[in-house]
Amino acid sequence: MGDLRYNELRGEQVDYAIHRQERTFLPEPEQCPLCPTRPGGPVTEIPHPAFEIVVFENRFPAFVEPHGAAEVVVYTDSHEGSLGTLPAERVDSLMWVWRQRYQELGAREDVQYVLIFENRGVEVGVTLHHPHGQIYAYPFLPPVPERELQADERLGGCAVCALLAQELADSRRVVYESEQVVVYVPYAARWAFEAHVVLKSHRASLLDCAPAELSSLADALRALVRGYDALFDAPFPYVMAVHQAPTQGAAPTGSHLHVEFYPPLRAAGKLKYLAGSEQGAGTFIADTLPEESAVTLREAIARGA
Amino acid sequence: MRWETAEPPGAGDPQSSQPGRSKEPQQPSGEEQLGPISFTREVKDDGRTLILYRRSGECRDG
Repeated sequence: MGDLRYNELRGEQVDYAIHRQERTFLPEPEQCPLCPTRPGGPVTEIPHPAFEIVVFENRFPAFVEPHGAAEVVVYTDSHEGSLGTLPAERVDSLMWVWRQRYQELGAREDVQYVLIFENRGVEVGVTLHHPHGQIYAYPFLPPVPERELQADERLGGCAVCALLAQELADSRRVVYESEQVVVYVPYAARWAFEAHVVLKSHRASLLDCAPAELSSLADALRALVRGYDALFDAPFPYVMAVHQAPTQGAAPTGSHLHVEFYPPLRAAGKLKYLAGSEQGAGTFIADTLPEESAVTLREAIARGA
Repeated sequence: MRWETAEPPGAGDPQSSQPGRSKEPQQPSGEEQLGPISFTREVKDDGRTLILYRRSGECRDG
């Protein structure tokens, strides 16, 4: 199941998981496979009439043991909702769920990198609307975290720590700040409303976080998603990716836990597409300035609070 | 035609685990506790694992 091929020209792996072509695609709410199995209703992926948070192995996995793993993380038994509308305590619990999965999957010999992520909205290819995220455990180190480690080497230390210090000193792109977490539109954001949620203290992964830091991270994620939804008064599509230390080999000194959001909207109803320059040359052409997006997003977060 | 898979440096290279990490697979068991949450594991009919997490006394405000 799954076939890795190395693309020499791109210098990256491509995973062929062709069985995913058959996965459930935008079912009607009453046929949602992530809803609870209620008396008299269809049997879903979760054979219980109610639940809080559930993780299960993806029925259509991109990776499977002994070459990685693919899991689904269901945030709630309600078909509606988001990270922004879930109770604070539930999002706090989710941080612990992420931590437990990172630890357990990362301990496996066949796993080199654990990516916790969420795709939200049909604009980014969501096939199930029920509030959920996913986890991929890769049997190799993917290019994006590898480039972050290269940035650490280039900057002579933790790149995220260095960038965070710059963002705090500049302050124009900071959209949310608490005692332990900062959210900013990065200086060289690729997406109009890209945002990075960063722990102020250097933490390689969720395993290194104190309970209060996990709670602060949960609060920041809720605030950001509420702000996103307030931007255009509609559910805001995004890809969310939790970046942590690779799980094989000695822990890199630079890896710094942070959560990146890549929203495809550049304005209400207008999508940013990855076109000629982005796909053909790998260079993003941005239509907005991060400093201006940050003002808009900061105001939206205030409205969404 | 099937392309040969070339591996980048380090791919598939078993390395030692990080300090403090257990490499022992965790077997399905009873209720486990982690911070404020507890969880139990089940095996679905098709063999896939499902983990149920709960938080005692969670305030549900929908």
